[in-house]
Amino acid sequence: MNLTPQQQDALTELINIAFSRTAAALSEMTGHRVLLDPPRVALCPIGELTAHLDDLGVGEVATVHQIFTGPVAGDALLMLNYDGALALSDLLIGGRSPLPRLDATDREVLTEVGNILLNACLGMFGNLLKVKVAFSVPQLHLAALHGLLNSLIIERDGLRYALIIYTGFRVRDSTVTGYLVIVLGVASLDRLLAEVERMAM
Amino acid sequence: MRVLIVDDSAFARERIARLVTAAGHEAIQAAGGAQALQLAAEMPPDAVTVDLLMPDMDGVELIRRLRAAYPDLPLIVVSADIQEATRREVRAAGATAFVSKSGRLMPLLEILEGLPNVQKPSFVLTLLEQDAFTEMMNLAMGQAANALASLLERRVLLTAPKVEIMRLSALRVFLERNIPAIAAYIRQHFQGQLTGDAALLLPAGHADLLVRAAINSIELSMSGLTGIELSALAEIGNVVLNAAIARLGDQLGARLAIGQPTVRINLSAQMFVEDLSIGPVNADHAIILLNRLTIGDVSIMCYLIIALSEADIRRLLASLGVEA
Repeated sequence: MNLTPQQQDALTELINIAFSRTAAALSEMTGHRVLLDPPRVALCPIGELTAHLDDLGVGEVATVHQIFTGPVAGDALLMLNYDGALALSDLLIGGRSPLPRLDATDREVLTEVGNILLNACLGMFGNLLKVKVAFSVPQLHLAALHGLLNSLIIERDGLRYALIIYTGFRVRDSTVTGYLVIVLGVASLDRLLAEVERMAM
Repeated sequence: MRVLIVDDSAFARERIARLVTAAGHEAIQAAGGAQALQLAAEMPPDAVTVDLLMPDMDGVELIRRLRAAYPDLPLIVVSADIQEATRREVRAAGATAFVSKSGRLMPLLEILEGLPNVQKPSFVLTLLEQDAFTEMMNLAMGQAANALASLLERRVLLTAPKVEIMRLSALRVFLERNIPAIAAYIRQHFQGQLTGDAALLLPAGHADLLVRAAINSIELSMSGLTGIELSALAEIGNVVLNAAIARLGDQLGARLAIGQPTVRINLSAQMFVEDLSIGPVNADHAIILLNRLTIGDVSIMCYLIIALSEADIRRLLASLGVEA
C-alpha cells in the first residue's frame, strides 16, 4: 500500500493545519516564537519502519507513546533522539544548566509536548472521520530504537502500517527534529485514506 | 477567584497556574481526580480546570462527580484532545467550557473572567502603571540604600525590579510558591492617610547572609539568630520599611505615623499572612516587591510586602498620573 500523490498532499495539508495550532501552544510555553517545519509524510509497512527512522541513530530514543482505540485504533508515537529530547526540553524550560541526562522535569515536559502533538494529529483524524478516538495516558519510554520497534511489531497481530510524519521544531536559533509515527491496522488505514481522498476531491 | 487546576502533568499545571496567577487569581493544584475531590471540599474553588487523561480517574468521571456534588461550580476542560466528539461528551457530563491545550491558553482567562458571580481580580496593572509603580518604589529603595550605607558604612544597592499587587487571600499561595520557608520578617504598622502594614521577608538562607553582611558576624549560632543579630535585622528592616512607607506617604503628600518594628523568625507563609491579618487594619490587598539587596559584594533576595486596603491602593495608582 502506498500513498497516492493526492492522498500525500491532502494528509500533509491536514497535519500542517493541526501543527500550526500546536506551534502556538509551544510559543506560549516558551515565551519565544516556535516554528514547526512543514511536515513530510510517508507510509510504510511496520516491518520497514526502522529504515525510515535511520537518522534517530543507534542510541536511546525518547518516545512518547499513546495507544488509541475506537473505530480507528493503533499506536501513536513521538520519537526524538536522546540529544534532541534534551535540547527540546531545554528550549521549553530554559534557564537551566545543561544536563547530561533527562530528569523528572524533562520527562514531564516531553510527555506533555508529545501529548499535545499526538492529540493534534489524531484528534484531527477523529474529527475528519466524525468518530471518537479514545486515548491512553501518554507514557515516555527511553529505549534503543530497535527494541522499541520490535515490541510494536510483535505485540499485535495482523498487517500494520506506519504513517510517518517528520517534523522539526525551531525555537530561537535551534532546531530539534523528530518523528510522529502512527501505527494503524489495514482497516483503520483504509478508512482514514478513503476519507482523506474524499476530502481532497 | 480561586481556581483549582487538575492535571497529572506538573508541567501542564504550572503552565495554567502561571496564567491564572498572573491575572491576579489564586491557583491551587491537584495531580489527580481523588486529590481534586478532596481539595474541592477543603478549599472550595470558584472554578476548576480539568484535564481529561489522568491515570487515577479520567477527567469525564471527575466532571460527573464534581457536577453531582457542586451543581453550580464552573468546570472547564483544558485538554490536548481536540475532537468534536470529546467536546460533546464532556458537555454532556457537565463541563461548562472547553479550552484546547493545542493552542494558546488565553481563552481560559476570558472564560474565567466572564463567569457570573465571581470575584474579579482587583488590579491587573497596565504596563505603564507597572513601570510607574516600580519606578516609585525604586526611588524609595534608593533612599533606603543610602540610609543603610550610612548605617553600615558599606556600599549598599537596593533595587525592586518587580512589583505585583494581589488580594491577601492569594498572598499565602504566592508566598508558598516563592518562599517555602520564611527565615525572618520585620514588620511595621503605619497609619494616617494610608493605613496598613509593611514587612520585609527574608527567605531561608538570606536572613543569615544579611546579618553576616551587616555586622560581619562570621560565627552564627547553630540554634538560630542571637539577640544582637535580631536587633541588627530589626534595624535594617526599620530603615528599609521607613523609606518605603515614607515614599508612599510622599506620593499622596501625607505624613504617616510609623510604629515600632517587630521581628519574627522561622515561620510558614500561612503564619505570616495570619500575622498580617491581625489587628484593626482594614487591609485586604498586598503590594509585593521582589528586592535585591547588595551589601558590599553579598547579594540578598528579600520581599517587601505592603498590606493596604483596595481604596488606598486605588488612590496610590491614581496619584501616579498614568492613564490606564
